[in-house]
Amino acid sequence: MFRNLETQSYAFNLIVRKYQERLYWHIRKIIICHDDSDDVIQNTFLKVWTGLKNFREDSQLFTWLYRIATNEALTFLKKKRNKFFLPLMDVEQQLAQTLESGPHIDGNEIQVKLQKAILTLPEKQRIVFNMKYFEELKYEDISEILGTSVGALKASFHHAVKKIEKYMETD
Amino acid sequence: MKKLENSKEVFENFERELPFKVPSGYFEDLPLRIQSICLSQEKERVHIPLLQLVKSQLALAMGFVILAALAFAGYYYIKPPSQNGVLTNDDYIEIVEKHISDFDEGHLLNAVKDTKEPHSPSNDLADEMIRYLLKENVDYVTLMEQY
Repeated sequence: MFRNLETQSYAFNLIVRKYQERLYWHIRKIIICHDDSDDVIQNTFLKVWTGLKNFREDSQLFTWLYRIATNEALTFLKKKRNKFFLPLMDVEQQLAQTLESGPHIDGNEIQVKLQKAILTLPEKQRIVFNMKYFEELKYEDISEILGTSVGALKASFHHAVKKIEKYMETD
Repeated sequence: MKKLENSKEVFENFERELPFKVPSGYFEDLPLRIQSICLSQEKERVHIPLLQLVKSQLALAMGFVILAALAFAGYYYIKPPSQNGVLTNDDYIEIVEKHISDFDEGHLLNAVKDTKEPHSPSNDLADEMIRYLLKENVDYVTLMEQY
């Protein structure tokens, strides 16, 4: 269906409709800002469209999509840092500010605090925590998406949980 | 904010909800927007002229050509006037023309004096032999036949 030119567009449309929300929320948790997440999800699907002909079915479709989305989100943050010559902390502070006063943010205090706690984590830990805690993905799938061993992912998640607990204990 | 007395409990019982929202109708419009972006990209890709496709390769090739030209020009600008260390009259003229301001008359005279061959007894002997041969009218062919 993906390789046939006549059905490719139809297949792509089905993929967009099926995965748009999951991928959008995955990106949004990394980027925080809605407008930026919107740009990133568009780029993600553009990459999916151009790569669909070469998609090898030795990996699951959803892990392939998640991998593209994660890479696009990380590339976006990297560009943002390079554009403003911002060190790592400043971008995270900017994201925390967006959580406090940005548009399209609507949650209770604990939800916002949890997101702020997640923002204090290193980038990779943050992604692992989001995928495990919010999206409840299996370690095997996360491993395929991020190209990291299951053991390392478990350790990463454990450290993330400890740090978040510590953060949540503080006022 | 209310102090979280037992954070673990809160963390475990916490609803896995996000404090984010999207504009209304966002996910209804998104597939259409993505479809139109992909189609417009496809059209652009089809209409990309050949020159556009090979633009970067051409720029790279042009860079190499310019680099080679600069290297060639630089080499001929700084290379010694003549190959094999033998200077021709043209080379001397070129050197003098390029560096005329570096020399005064005294330098030139010294240079001429330095190049004059030193006087040696073997030169005198050779001159005497030549004079003898001329006097006796012995030509080159006779000498060759003799030896």
